[in-house]
Amino acid sequence: MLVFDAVGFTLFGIPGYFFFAGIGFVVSISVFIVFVVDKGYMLQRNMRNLLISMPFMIFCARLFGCISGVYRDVGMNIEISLEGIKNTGIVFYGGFIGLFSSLYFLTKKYNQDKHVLDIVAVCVPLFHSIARVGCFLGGCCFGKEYTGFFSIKYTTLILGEVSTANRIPTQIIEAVFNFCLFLYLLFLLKSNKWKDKHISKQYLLIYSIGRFFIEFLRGDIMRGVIYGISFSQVICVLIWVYLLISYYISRRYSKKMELKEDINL
Amino acid sequence: MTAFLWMLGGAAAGAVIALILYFLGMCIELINCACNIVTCNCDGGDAIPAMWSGNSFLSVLLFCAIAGAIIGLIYGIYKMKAASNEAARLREAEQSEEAKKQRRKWADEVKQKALSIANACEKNAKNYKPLVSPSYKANVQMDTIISELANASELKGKVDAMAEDAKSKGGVSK
Repeated sequence: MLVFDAVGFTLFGIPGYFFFAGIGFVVSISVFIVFVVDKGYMLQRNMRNLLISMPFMIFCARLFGCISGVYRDVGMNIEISLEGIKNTGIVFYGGFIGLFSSLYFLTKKYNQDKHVLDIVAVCVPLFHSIARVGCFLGGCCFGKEYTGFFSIKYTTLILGEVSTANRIPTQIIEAVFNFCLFLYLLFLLKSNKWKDKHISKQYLLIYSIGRFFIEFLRGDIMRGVIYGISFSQVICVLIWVYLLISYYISRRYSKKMELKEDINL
Repeated sequence: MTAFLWMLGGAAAGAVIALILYFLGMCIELINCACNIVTCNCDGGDAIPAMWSGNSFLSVLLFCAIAGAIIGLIYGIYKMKAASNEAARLREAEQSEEAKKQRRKWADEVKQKALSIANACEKNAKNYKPLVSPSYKANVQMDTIISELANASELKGKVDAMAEDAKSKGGVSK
């Protein structure tokens, strides 16, 4: 059985999460640069857009963290307090929504092709898969207690107290899932008709479905749970609603266009 | 050289980001400290404990600088690649423009030649005299035939008169 103590774990004097998030950032930005040039987009403009989006991404990640704090307090039936809201981390979905919405706004503003977002959608799971290894080393996002085949003896801090238990390695499961998703999206991006593949929407759908099920395996109470449904699962459902609405609108639009073409003929 | 410069720029940007991170961390610590003072919480610890332990600042600074340098290097390499791609595309476009001009010139020449040939043909067609008329001129031919017949009967009359004359003058016809 694998044994790991995440309390105070550092790599070269750098906290594990920060170290792997940094590596993920470098690798995913590099992949973004490669594909932006490969697909013939303006590198300087798109890099600038990405860098401008970063503060907004961090802000939204933290904002969603604060909202998850409120969600947790409601779930635990305790009074919502500033201390409780402060005692939260960052939420991946918040960062993702912040990054995508700001990039979408910037691409529209500078008349860029919106398919650049598809390249970003390929890079996000790559970053996420590496960052999840950082979660494992940093002691967050851990799984429920479990003594089966894949369990690990994991030591981490829970509400400021050291806890050692056999747990499901949800961070590693999600890292592998994200890496597989990255490979699939990369395969789509390499195809000739990549613009017709709806890569961003495929990423949103596949990741949200995977995340919805992985959330049931998680054991950290910090992220907030109401009636067994976590904050991230609520966002997953909202993403499905958004995808359904956009699918319905695009179908109606294409039908309208077909009708117009028939009339013109 | 460009890639190397971008690498240096990236390293500097990474170092600046590390400094900004620590500055933000210091602000959070100050707010935390102020909160602890206001709430008389003397046992309150650091907001971000790992930030100030040991050589963490130097480690983060080095890590950010290396990360920035790697991104800068890749950015520089691909910026050069994008520039060379753009130059090749422009060259190709220029070449294709030249080829287009040449093709247009040849097409003009061919058109001119075809026009002069057409003019010559038209001119020749106007001056053409056929050796045998393809149209049947019945009246003219009939007139010719009738005049020939008239000539023939006239000659016959003359010959008959000469014969009569010879007979009346005692000549014997043998």
